[in-house]
Formats: sequence, C-alpha cells, structure tokens
Amino acid sequence: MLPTVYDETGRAFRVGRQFAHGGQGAIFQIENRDDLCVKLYNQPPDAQQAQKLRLLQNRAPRLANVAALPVSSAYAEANSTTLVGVFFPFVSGRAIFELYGTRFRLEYFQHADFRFLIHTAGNLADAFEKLHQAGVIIGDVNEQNVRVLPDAHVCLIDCDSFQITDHERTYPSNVGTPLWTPPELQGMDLTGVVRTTNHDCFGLAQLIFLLLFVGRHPFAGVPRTGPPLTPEDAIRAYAFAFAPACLDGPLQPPPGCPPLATLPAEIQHGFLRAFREGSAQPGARPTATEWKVWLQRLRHSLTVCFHHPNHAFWQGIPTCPWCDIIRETGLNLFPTAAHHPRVTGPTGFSENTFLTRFHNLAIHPFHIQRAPACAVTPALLPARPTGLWSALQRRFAPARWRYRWLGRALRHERHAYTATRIAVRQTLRKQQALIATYHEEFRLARTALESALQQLRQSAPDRCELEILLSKQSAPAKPPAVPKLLASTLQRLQEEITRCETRIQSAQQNCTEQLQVSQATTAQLAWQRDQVHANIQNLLKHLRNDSAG
Amino acid sequence: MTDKLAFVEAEFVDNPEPRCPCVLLLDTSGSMRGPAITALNQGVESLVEELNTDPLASERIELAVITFGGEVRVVQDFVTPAGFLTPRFEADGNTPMGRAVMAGCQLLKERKHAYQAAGISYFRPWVFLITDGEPTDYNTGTWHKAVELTRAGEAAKSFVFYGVAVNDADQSKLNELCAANRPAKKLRGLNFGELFSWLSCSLRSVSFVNPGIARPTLPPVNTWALLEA
Repeated sequence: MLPTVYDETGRAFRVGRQFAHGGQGAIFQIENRDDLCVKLYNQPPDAQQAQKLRLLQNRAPRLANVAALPVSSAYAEANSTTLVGVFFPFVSGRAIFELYGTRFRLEYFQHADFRFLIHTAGNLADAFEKLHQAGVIIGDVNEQNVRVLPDAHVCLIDCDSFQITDHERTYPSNVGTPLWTPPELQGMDLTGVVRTTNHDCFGLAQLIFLLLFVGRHPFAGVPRTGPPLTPEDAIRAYAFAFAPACLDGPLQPPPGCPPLATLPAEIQHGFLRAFREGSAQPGARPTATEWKVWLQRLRHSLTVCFHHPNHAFWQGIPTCPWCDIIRETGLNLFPTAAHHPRVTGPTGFSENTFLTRFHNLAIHPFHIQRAPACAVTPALLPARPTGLWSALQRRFAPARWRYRWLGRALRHERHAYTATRIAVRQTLRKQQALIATYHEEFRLARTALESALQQLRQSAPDRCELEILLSKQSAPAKPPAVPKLLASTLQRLQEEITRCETRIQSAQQNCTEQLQVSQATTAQLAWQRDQVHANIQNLLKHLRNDSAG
Repeated sequence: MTDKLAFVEAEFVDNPEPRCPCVLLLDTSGSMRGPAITALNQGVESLVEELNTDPLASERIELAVITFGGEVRVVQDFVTPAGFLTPRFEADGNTPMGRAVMAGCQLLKERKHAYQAAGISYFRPWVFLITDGEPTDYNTGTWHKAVELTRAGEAAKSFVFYGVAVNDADQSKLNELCAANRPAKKLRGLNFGELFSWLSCSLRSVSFVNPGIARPTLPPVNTWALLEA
C-alpha cells in the first residue's frame, strides 16, 4: 500500500484506512478528507481501462448526484504518468440492502415506512434514467453498489465498472454478480460482453422489487412441484415466484409476504415484463422512466392503516397487507417508532382516500379449523397366544406371558393417550390465541368507527376535523379556511359507515360461531382422549383379572 | 410442533435473504485435550467474529455445530452469526465420527426443508469436518452409512464436504468420507485461526459471489494446509 498518492494536478493525499475491497483493488480513505476516497488497483489499469476512466470522469459533473464517478486519476508520484488508482467522491449513507432488510432497517432507518421505500425506489429509477440518458450502462447492478442516504437519495458507487460508449467504441463492464445477472446472461463469462439498458433494467426491477416487498427476492419461492431451484437456476428459468398462479411457473410465492396484487396493476405488469419469459427481447423490460412514473403515482395513492399508523399501503386494496403479515407470522415489518414523524402526504387527503379508509375498515374474517376427526374404537382384546410354548410360559412365567399378550396394545393406547392430550392442549391454546387476536382487532375497528360516527353526529362536522381525527394528526398551527363537507360526500360517508357497521355485525356473528366451533372441537378431542383412557383401563382390568385367575 | 406449522418462521420474514448453511463437525474427543481444544475454541470464536463484520454475509450465512467426543451433540442448530453463542468445547471421550456425519446430514436435511417451506433460496451447503483421531466407529454399519451419505450428497451436489485432519489424524480413513476431487487437507500445526479465517472468506465469497467471475474461486488453502508431498 502506498502512503501517499497524487492527483492529476500533483497534489499529495495521505492514504488512510482501507474500508472495502473488490476483485480489482481496494478502496482507502483519505486522511482528513471525508468527501474523498481512493481506489488502488492490484494491477495497473491497461490503456483501455485508463481511457474508460477518463471518459467516466468527463461525465462526473453532470451525474454527481446519482453516481460517484471518478474525479481524478491517482499516481504514485507527482508528475508521473503511471496510473495506480482513481479518486472517487466518498458516499456516506448505507448500502441498499440495509434499507430493505428489516433487521438493518430498524437499526439504520428507524423512520422508514413503506412510503420511504417507494420514495427510494423512485429515486433509484431516477438515477438509472439519468445514467442511461448519458449513455452509461451500470452493468454490475447489485445490492452493495447502491447507497441510500438518510433522505432517501440514492447514489451508485463502484462506478469504474460502468460500461460507456464513446465514438462508436464501447468500453465494456466485464463484471457481474450471478444473483443479479439477467437470465439471458446467466452463466456467461462477462468479459467483453456488451451490456444493454435492457440488461440494466433487470437489475433495476430486482432492486425495486426488493424494496417494495421488504427484502423478498423475486426468484425465491416455494416449489410448486419438482426440486428446489438454486437462485441462479430460478433466474435462468424465468421462475418469477410472485407471478399469478394461472401462469403456472415452477415457484409459488413464499408464505408471510404481501402478494403481488397489493400493488397497482401497472406495477404488477411491470414486474411480469421484467422477470418473465420474453423479457430478454431488446427493450422488453420496463425502462427507468416507466418505473419512475409508476412509483410516483403509487406514492400519491397511499393510505394509512387504522391500527398501525406506520403501515402505509396502496389505497386500492381492502386490507392492510402489513397487518395480514402480523396475523400470519406475528411479526411487524414496520413497527411504530416512538418518535415517528407523522406520515404526511404531499397532496393531503382527497375525499376518495378518505372514503377508502372507511372502506378499509374491514375486519379480518377468521376461521377456526376443526381438529381432524379420528374415530376411537374400543380396544379389542388381542387374541391370547396359543401353542405349547405359550402354555408353558403362561404356567411358569405368567408376567412375561401377559406382557406378550397385552403389552403391545397397552403401549399403543398409551401413546394415543399422550398424543391426544397434547393435541387438546395445543388446539385449545391456538384457538384461544386466534380469538384473542381477533378480539383485539375487532376492538380497534370499533373504536375507530365509533369516533368517526361521533364526529359525524356533531352539528357541523367539517372535513378538516374529521381528517385530523382519522389521521391522529396534531392540529395545524394555523387553521385553514375549511370547506364544509359537501352534502353528497356526507351522504356517501354515512353510507360507508352503515356498511362498516354491517360488516362489524357480521364479524361479531362470525366470532360467536367460531367460538362454538372451538368449543365443539375441543370437546370432541377431549372425548377422544377419554375414550382412549377408557381403553387403557379396560386393558388393565383384563390384565388384573388374568393374573387373579 | 403444531404451532410451528401454523405460523411462518419469523426468522425468514424479517430476513428473507438467501441462505448459505454450513455445518461444523468438530472432534472433541479426549485426544484433543490441551492446546488443540483451546485453539479450536479460539478459532470458532474468531470465525463468528469475522462473519459478523460483514453485514450481508451475517444475514446469509448460517452456522450449526455438532461435536463428537464420547457422544454426538448438536451444540448449535442453524443460526445466523449474530445469534450464534460461541460454545466452549471440552475434550473428552472417543471419536464417533460416522455418527456425527450422519447427525450433520440429518440436521442439514431438516434445514433445507425449512428453507423450502418458507420459500427461501439457498446456496450449496457446506459440511466441514475437523478431526485429530481415527473414527472409533470405523467399519461399523454407521460408518458405511455415513460414507454413503457424504458420497451421495457430493455426487448430487446437495452439499460440499470438507475434511481437515489435525496432528496425526488418520487421513486415509477421513478420505473415505471425502469426494475424490476434494481429498482431506492436513492442518499445519494448530493453525485453527488461519483455517477459520479461510472458511469465513470462502463462505462469504460463496454467499454473494465476487463480481467478475462466474463461479466463486475460493481463496488458496496454503495459509493453513500442509501441501501434499
């Protein structure tokens, strides 16, 4: 390692700590500079690589916001011409997988909710759009080369591997990462391969997918039939796990994550175009510009869950997908941080989002499963062993003989008894937990509805107050001139509330029914247990009788 | 158990990254007593530490530890390095290596089922065996079954098996477990530190695969292995 490197103007920089290393070299801090770092190559770059770095450097001023392009070549000595490395701007923030990965997100981006993820995805699409417009192809898109700043800004790093075309001459990227390589390039030696924007758009779609599905990989799913696929094989087979079942791919979506249908149709189609068969055709995948528009639209059509103010989701679906995941897995992907800043929409609430929220007040239907009915028959007394040996044994070793006669049946019944006892306990516990969760949800829905109803009954409800109440926002400093709710809106609102009430009623009825199912199931299981117990007693009685006789 | 089936495993919901499972089969028989077991303890500790410094690797790599010294014990079921509690190994008893290999394969099989049910993809698992003796269950039915399991697993590419011989371990018997193209390596002295450092680097490169190469090339083993004469 060199202690000092020089830039193009001959200025000296002291090399600091190494903080990353890749295939071609290592990246070092510069002492006393927090805006600059230097990458020193293992092998001095050849003429082609040097020319590519110069071309990228020329583009740097225009693209500084979205990519850390080289700012100067690095030399071992002042006025030398032998390149040893290259200076890059230092990008703070975190790698993008530390945003979509829930464990890291809770540590580094505590306030990030779904809206923040969409925002980041939009900025990512914007970065790709700017680079593509400048004739730069990223090539090696991966989860470690994209940095996200605390304000959701996105900046690409490791830019010396970008592909750039100049005067009809292409300087290829040469590198790639298998998990991020599109199907048409999987398994290929990427040296010298000219990449296209369509290849980049595969990586872009994957990153957007990871953000919108909170770390789920588009090609990881449960095998429908057949053996499990390795990540690379799944990509090669266009096995997009979230594709609708009617497309009959080899994988189905994993449990515990939102389905594709929780997003607007255009975004769903976008993912299908990016990952399914036919995506390898030039220009088939959605471009960065398309993604940017869709994501922007999605960002403006979000609503907030009644139960968890941190749960933002697309207003076009009836229930909160993040609450569904809590029900399914017990895990909250967007827990409310204590000092979470209120989610404020750029457009505020329209009448429609307002009504949608009432509409979303659906209560999760729950369903208790009956225990599998297994008929318990009274244990038949096994036939007494016969024959000379048996007769002798009965005479001289009666205990042994009885054991031969009834031991197996007893053991079998005892196992059955233990198993049913455990089943009764576990079923009961599970059912009670289900009913408790449901009641909690029910209570929350009721509270939300009641407060809205009360507000509506008051003499002159105005929209602003209702909005504040529903979004639990603090009152604005300066009360705006509030339009009274239009009569028509008021009526629609009232209708929606009536519908909600009906839903709550039917939910209540469902609850009563399920409670009965629960009691019946447990009773049935308990009966089975008692039957088996009776069997055991019966067998034991025979055993005693026999020994008495 | 019923509860586990009804609910999706939470560890796969907040961390759906693809996994790279690795089972360590460690010999803790009586002959390891003394500096060897101390070095082994430090080695495992440093492995976990090194993996924890790499955020992406710490989400993807899962370690399990089975020891065989007198009895075969699953000291640690599969867990990401952050949740790994470094155990203290103590040397005692004989070397039931065949049984340990079978336990390792079983553990791996169960883990793969869990991944498949949760829709988590995984890289080819590693089985890493370190021993300083010769198997006390050699030429028993268990041993033959273990050999069959590792050979079949290697052939079906369902895992990679590495054998490391320490001190005067019986390398030829160990080689029966290894695939022909990946014979057991002999550890230079008690260089467990270098060995585990190599393991950490290799697992990391497997779990996200260095850019620029289609297949991961593992770092050279000459930091810790004695080259064959």
